[in-house]
Amino acid sequence: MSNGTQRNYVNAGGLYFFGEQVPTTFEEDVLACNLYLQLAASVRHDKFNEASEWRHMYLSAMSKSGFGVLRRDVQSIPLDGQGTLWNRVEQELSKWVSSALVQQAQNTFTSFADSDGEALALLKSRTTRPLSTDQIKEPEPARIETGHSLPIPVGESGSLSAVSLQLAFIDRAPAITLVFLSFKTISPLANLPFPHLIYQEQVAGNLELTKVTVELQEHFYKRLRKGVLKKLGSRFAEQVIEVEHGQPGAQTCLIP
Amino acid sequence: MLNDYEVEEAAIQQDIRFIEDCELADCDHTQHMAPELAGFDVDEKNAEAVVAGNSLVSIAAGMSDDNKQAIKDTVLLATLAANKSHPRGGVQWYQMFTRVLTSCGWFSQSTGFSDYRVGNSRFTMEQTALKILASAITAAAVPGPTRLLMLKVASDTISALQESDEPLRLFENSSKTHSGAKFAIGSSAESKDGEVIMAMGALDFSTRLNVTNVLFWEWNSSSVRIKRAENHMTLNQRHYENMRSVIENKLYGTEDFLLSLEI
Repeated sequence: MSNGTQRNYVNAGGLYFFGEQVPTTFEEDVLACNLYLQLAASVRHDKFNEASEWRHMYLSAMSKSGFGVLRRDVQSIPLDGQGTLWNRVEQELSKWVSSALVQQAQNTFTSFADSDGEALALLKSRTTRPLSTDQIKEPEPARIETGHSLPIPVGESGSLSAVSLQLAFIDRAPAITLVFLSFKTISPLANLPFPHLIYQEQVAGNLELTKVTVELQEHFYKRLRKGVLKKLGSRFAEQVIEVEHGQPGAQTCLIP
Repeated sequence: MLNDYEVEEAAIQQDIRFIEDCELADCDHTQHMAPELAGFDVDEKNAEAVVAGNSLVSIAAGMSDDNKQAIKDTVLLATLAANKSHPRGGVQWYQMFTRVLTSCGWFSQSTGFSDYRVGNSRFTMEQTALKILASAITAAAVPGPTRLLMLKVASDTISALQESDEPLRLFENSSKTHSGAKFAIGSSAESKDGEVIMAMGALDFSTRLNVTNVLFWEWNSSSVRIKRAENHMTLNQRHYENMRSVIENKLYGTEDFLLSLEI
């Protein structure tokens, strides 16, 4: 049964947007198995300093676990003042996600502006980390040439922070479009409101953007559901928090 | 003397052993076969299609999820088994393909592989495959509206595939052989009383030219030699239910990769 409303969740280091037609049971499955994949990838790789390896582990585990990959695109994009980071992501999403769901995401970012609740704290803690000088790597090579690569400003590297954010768009079961964003920023993240993060006009180096649309089939997942929830244990309730659309700060846990 | 039930049970046990013993292409027993499977939407009425390696099957709207999955799994299994045993294609590839489908529970009425002559001097494999499939659908003797539906969905599927990304790449890469290509295209539907039918055309062509685009390249009839077979099948649900867990274990493994990961 679908719940008939748009729903949004912080899922550890990701923001998940579900359209009106998505059944509640599918929402739970998507959230649980993607939390599981985030945790599994993080056991093997540091997602802030090994973003490419982390992403590869995540997607590889996904395809080996019964997710059908419909399409995939990897890009390294220089943000050179031509609009904001979100403008660029929005442009990339145009043929992948419905405009209604993109608007839903945008409304959620805005609703975060005034909220400073548990969900936002969780999201920030799982998506941003200050980098020490010896942790700074050169921008990852682009798998698809998109133009030039912007250098990391040398003089500023001491105050760099790494951002690794996942966005997930689910219009209709069983398809899930995941967007992985990795970039470095010189903004002071500790006190940065979330909209500033997503609407900033420049990042240090390139924006690494991976889009993938997969299918999570009930037929596959029914064999895994119990095991996934059992291994997640209390982490599911702790790291999956609903963010009520258009009501800043109002949050409820999906499973008590 | 065995009674009918015992004969059927013996046949099922024989098919279980056959499926358990057959080897699959690219199967290392730690990797699921999902990367060989790609689904995509066909039109707004919710018809859908699936690419399973070098097989493309359209599924008319209204089919139950269980039956859709039965089609996807059995076609994928048959494709992988045939690709493993006869990677160069040809008659033996098709025989293995239909043998696996039959073991999975499809009651099959198939023509053998034979040479196919194209009427026009210039043609695409997409057009040829659709003609062969249309012939198979006609031979299935399904009611007129169902026949038209299966034809329409098959045609729409090819159009949708051309616009797709991952499914087209998977199909093209899986189809090519050292001297041409081999592939199957099918169209399936479920009747009001739950009977699942699938018509299929298989096509194998050889050429001295380098094949870069299997379906949509315009060929000259003098530069390519085509063999084809047609098949129409009905799913025996009782037989399939006995085979289902064997098929799933063969395709997706008995141990779940995801749950083996540390979190």
